[in-house]
Amino acid sequence: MRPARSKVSLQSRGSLWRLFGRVIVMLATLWVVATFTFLGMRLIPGDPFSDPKVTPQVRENLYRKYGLDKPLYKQYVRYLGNLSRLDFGVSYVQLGRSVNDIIAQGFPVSAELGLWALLLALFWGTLLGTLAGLHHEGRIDRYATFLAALGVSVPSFILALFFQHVFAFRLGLFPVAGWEGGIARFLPALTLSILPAATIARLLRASILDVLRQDYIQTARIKGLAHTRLLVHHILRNAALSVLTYLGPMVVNITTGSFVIETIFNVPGLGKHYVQSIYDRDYTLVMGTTVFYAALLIVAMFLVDIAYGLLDPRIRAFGAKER
Amino acid sequence: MRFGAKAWFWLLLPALLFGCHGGPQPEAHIPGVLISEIGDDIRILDPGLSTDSVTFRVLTNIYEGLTRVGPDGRIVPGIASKIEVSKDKRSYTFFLRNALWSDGVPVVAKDFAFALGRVMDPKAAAQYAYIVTDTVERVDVLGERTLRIILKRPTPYFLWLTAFPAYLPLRQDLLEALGQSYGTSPERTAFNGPFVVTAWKKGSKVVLGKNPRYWDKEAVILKGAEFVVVKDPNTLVQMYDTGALSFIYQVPTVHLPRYAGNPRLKPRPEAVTDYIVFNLHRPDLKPLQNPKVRKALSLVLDRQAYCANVDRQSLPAYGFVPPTISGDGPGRSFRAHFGERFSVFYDPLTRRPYKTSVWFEDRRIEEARALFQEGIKESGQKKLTFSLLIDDTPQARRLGQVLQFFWQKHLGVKVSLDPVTYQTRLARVAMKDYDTANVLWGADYDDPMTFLDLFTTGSPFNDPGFSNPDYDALIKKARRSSDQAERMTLFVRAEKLLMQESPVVPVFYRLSYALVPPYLKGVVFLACGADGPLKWASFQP
Repeated sequence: MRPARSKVSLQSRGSLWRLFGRVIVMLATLWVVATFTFLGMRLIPGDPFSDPKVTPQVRENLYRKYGLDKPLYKQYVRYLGNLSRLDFGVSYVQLGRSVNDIIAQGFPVSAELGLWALLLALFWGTLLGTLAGLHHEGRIDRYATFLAALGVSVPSFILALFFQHVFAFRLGLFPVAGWEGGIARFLPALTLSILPAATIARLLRASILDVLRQDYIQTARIKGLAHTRLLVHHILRNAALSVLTYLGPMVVNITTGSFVIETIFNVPGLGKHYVQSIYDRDYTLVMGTTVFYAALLIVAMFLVDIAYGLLDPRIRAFGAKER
Repeated sequence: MRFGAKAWFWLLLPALLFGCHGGPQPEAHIPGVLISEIGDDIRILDPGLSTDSVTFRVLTNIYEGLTRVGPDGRIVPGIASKIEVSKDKRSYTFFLRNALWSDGVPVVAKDFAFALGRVMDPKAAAQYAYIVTDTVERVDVLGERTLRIILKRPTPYFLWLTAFPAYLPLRQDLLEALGQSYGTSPERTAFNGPFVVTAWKKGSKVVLGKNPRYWDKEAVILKGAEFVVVKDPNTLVQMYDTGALSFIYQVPTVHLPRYAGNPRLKPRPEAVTDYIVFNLHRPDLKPLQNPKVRKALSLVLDRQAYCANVDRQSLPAYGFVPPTISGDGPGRSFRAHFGERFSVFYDPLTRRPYKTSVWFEDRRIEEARALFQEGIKESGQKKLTFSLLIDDTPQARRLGQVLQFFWQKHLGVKVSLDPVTYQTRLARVAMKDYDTANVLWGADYDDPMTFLDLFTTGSPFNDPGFSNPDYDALIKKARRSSDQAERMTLFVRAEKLLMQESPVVPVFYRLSYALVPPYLKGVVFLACGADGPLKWASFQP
């Protein structure tokens, strides 16, 4: 048992300050994103109500209803005010629905799909990458590298159509599309996992090769360390750093929905809103989804930085404690 | 291990690529429940605020208006059991039958009056307000089940309008209790149509069940219906092929060639004209202000070749009103019965003939060149180059390239294509920020007026900025008239004048198809308004 610490050490007070500074930078980034999205949306021609059937009179009514008749700076101030209360406003297209509600409905679906895909990707990526790295220049390496190259280069909509045609249409193993029952999750998750799996495999292979050349591996081998222990504690742990850098943004990407995959497999997730809302000029939804995505991305990068430290004491950013 | 991986790979490869088609049977679904696709999620369960055709398709099955549009576009009884029309045809008195909402509350005259009043109120900002305000002057509740609607002018298609979503009834008590959230889920509204919404899985599907309180429930055979959101054309076709859908409401363009000659392919009436509009107010494009130049640009086209060989899902247009719009009565096409000269054109996929009146012939190169030279000379400019604003879609780009080819080859006019997204195109045309543009217009209601009043002076949809006192007078006269024969004569004269002046040049009428298996009967397709009522649909093996 360790004795309870009586006072905060100097080092952790420093990291508290650093944490605080980091949060400020994160908020500032978010503000920049929110502002650019707000202005960018207004710069493209058209508005949410430029339907061919909308008369100028009706458009005026709609502008008044949604407060779009006010000067731009007033709209901006109101938007930032709402944003600070985490209120993204009401969608102009999906009448009566708040953007928060749309995100709350779509995000869990996308996140679930993303997590399944993430598990698949980690499994296949680690397996392929490790095998390839350990059997460098061997036959397994060549197969694995080929598969990884294929996975990185074939676009997801081709994979989606291929899997759909083969597994759903020809073999009848899975439904063509939809989100009902566990079985329907398989094809979209598989499609979504291919690119990250291939990327993980390639990154892991390269860094394993790098690690294997290090002196300490030679030393450990000469000392007669058990193979599994060497692999897990010395090789994978160090090689994982490169994967980790990629993993943060990838997790956000994969769990916030893919437009292509959700469209092809009829998944009621968040993915379609990123693109559709821009086509519809649904200002509030565009801004809501963008800021939401940016926030997740910023948080994920922050977490990656922390995880770095756990894996590599040399670059520990926060909360380092003496042992 | 090595051998194992390799063996698996070679073993599975042929199975994956050429695996037998052992999937679910194509005709397997829940008995009595019809499943079809919608291209996007519905937006709200509130007819007064709805504008898009997807939401309309669901609304027509869960609400009932004073009237309903049935097979062949005929008006059939709805909530009104008797309708009295005054002599001047400006006052309609509706006597309501004993009908109930899905929560057991009676449907009364006040529900209709309240709905119309709300659509007309600018604060509600209903996008389809004009379809009520242009026609209706006053709504009086004469008794619990008696409603009188006074019109601004005689409107021969008024009983068609009373079936339109903006005219559907609305419960004041529910709207006031629920406010903003009214209609955002099936629990937050009440229904009075053949079906009720039992589930709305946002982004995925809308499930309908039979309405046990519907006044005409004996006529409804289906046990229910599902509208599944399918956006991808390949997914749609594969879902139909594996039996996940009962029929395809709209066959995607890319897959149409696959079904050419298939007896299941049914033309679905669509009232859409695709046309070119000229900006008549550009000082730097004087030649476009000359009708001779515009006419020449129209005469050099080869519409028949384009429709039959390139587009393959359209009919050549030599007039502005599409053939699916009724003239002096339901089933009496304006295009087929009114005009001076007639031609027959064939649907390229099903070979179905369409008799249509034509105002001109095209492929008249020599005549067009002469006209063009004359027009150019009159305008005082020597050369003509302009840009053509088009949608950023494969179909629109293809048409753009064809137009570019004809104009360059026969008249030496250099045209640059300007493809933009749909919203941008709408905005730029509305702001008159274009030289020429390729646009579409779809009917709001089943009458030639919905096409011909676009080009009256001051009309909000007058894209070319056309203004002609004779044209205005003809349309004004047609608006006031209640005599169908007189109206048709006026429309014919107006359309002829429009084609002579050519502020717009029609190119084609869009065709659209459903894929309907032979055992599915009674699905009604309408050219405009709330299409696809399932009240009379049934499976008959």
